[in-house]
Amino acid sequence: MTLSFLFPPKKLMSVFILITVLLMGFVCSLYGQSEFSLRVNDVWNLFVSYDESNINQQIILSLRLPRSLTAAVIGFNLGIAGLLMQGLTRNPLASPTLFAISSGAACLTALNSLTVASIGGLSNEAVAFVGALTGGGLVFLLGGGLSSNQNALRLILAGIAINGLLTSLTRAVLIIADDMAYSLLHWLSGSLSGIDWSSWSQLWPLSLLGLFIATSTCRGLNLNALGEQTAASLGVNVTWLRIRICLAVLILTSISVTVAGPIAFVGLIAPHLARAWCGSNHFMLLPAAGLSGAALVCWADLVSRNIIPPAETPVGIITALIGTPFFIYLILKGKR
Amino acid sequence: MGCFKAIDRSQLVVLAKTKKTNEIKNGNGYHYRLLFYEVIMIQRSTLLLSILFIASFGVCSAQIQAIELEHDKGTLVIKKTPSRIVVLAFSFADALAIADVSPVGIADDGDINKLIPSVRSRIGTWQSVGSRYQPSLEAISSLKPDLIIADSGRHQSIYNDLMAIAPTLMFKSQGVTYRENLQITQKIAKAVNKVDLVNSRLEEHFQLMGRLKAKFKSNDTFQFAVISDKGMWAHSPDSYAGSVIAELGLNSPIDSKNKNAYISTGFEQFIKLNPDWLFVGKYTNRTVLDKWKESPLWKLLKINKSKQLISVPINEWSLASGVLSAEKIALEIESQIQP
Repeated sequence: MTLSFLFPPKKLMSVFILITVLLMGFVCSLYGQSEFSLRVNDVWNLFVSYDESNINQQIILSLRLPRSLTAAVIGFNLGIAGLLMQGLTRNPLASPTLFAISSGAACLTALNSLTVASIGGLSNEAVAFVGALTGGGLVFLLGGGLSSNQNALRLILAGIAINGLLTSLTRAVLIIADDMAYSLLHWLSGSLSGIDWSSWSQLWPLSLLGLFIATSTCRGLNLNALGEQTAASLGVNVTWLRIRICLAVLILTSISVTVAGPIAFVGLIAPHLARAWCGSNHFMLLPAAGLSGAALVCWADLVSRNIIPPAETPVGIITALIGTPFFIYLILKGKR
Repeated sequence: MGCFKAIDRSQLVVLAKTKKTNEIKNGNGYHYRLLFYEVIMIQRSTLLLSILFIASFGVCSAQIQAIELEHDKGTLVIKKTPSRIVVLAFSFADALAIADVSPVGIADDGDINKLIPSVRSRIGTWQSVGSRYQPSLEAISSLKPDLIIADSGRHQSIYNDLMAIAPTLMFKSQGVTYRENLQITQKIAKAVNKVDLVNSRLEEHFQLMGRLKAKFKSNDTFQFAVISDKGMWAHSPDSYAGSVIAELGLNSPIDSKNKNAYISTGFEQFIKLNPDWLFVGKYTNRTVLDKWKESPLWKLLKINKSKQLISVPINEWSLASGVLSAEKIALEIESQIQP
């Protein structure tokens, strides 16, 4: 009874469609646009009759599979993080970018590449992760994350300020770096071209942890939609909810940015797609936003490889190209 | 320097005398007022003046002829040989080095080591005018240059500002190919009035390139790429290093249909390129190659079997893009192919 209330069949259908779209994107990106003329048969054979000496299968296994899996999980993470941010601030234009996580990671990575601030011999991934946590942590603290008197506007303003600071620092570094900037710019636009199994093994454990925390906030978010005071009067510990949401956004976005650089707009679009199909119940929205994000990044990655083959166009450029008109649409819709 | 001033002033004096005035306006709209001693000179014997004028004319006659130069922003008329030149790209410093002219300012990103040693040793000291990306207009104008040579790609937006400081030549530097750069080198030689010197130096250069080309005769494929921890960028035959490799008669693994100079290359694309020789210029100590080496697919690569993976100085192969750096590239390849 409760279950059918939470997951009505019509909405389950939408989730089913989303999964199908995601799977199609996932499989296509396993063999699409390759210099080795990979075919869908190669993907099939990889699972049914694995042959170690077959170069096509090796390429799918060592390069394509980790890349597609990573793309899907990053999309999933960003979609959920976007949903949590929009739920927390009750602002449809909020996205994980607000938390200055991407700009924190970008700033520290840029500084580290220039060896201006070589950070204790840490690997690039570790540096990006530290930067992401620092940026996000600063916004969280400045935005009154721990105070009992919550104000969503304060969080947004803190986000804008810290983002501005970190972005200008990154720009300064890029101008000083000049020829180094070329290689950094690719990463800064969000690129999946360097993904391998080691990236995957960094990504999944933290993503799983973030997902658990995110799931635990669904009930709170449903009530928070009615307003913080109403939620509090219904027995929700709003401060604790807020801390959990921020923590989940921080973990999910930080690890995604660390692996692939800042991929823009996914966290903004995915929750809206999910809401259009699955209503406003966060138990339904959470998987739907995640799946929409995953499908979006998988397809964007496929498109990005087809723009000027064999060169790689950063996937972040494609998501931004899709995202900007969408953002404008949201603004116009809000106006009406 | 003093010599040019003398001609200038002496021309003025003659002009002033014929026009019976002590103020002259030239074609550029500049006003010259005769100095007191020059007015006195006009009043002195004509013979003395003629002798002085002819003598100075004879000494510096080469510099007086105005030169018309085609560049990327039209035609520039250079009336006298420039002596204070500011260059905003490394390839132009290379061109001046073989003309035995020292620029007074270079946009060297504040790091003299970015210029390759063979260029540095041929030119005197210079002042940095900031980064190539955004040179300091103030620093340029404080050097009082009489010619600026700028990159038509990077410095398009500041062309008018540069023209306000001094006559400016715009040539391609970023993404220039070997052949294009040879033409630019010859134009710069013309601008600094060192055509004969540069031509004889280029003759030497062509002999070296010709000798090496005849020597190489290899069916292997050669690729140069810059790498960092963020990725690999293969330099195609439409880039400088790539075009030097092609000039030496060596094959590229890149499809000739691909006209991009720098190609962002993932591991999958690299496996497809699979060059026999890979020269890499590293931006960072740890690079994507270290990651790729751990993959089982690395075993498929020819460079893994032949060990023909060579680390080269990135300044010479990627930043310099000049005649001297082309020689360095060619000699490096020679030393690797036939040790």
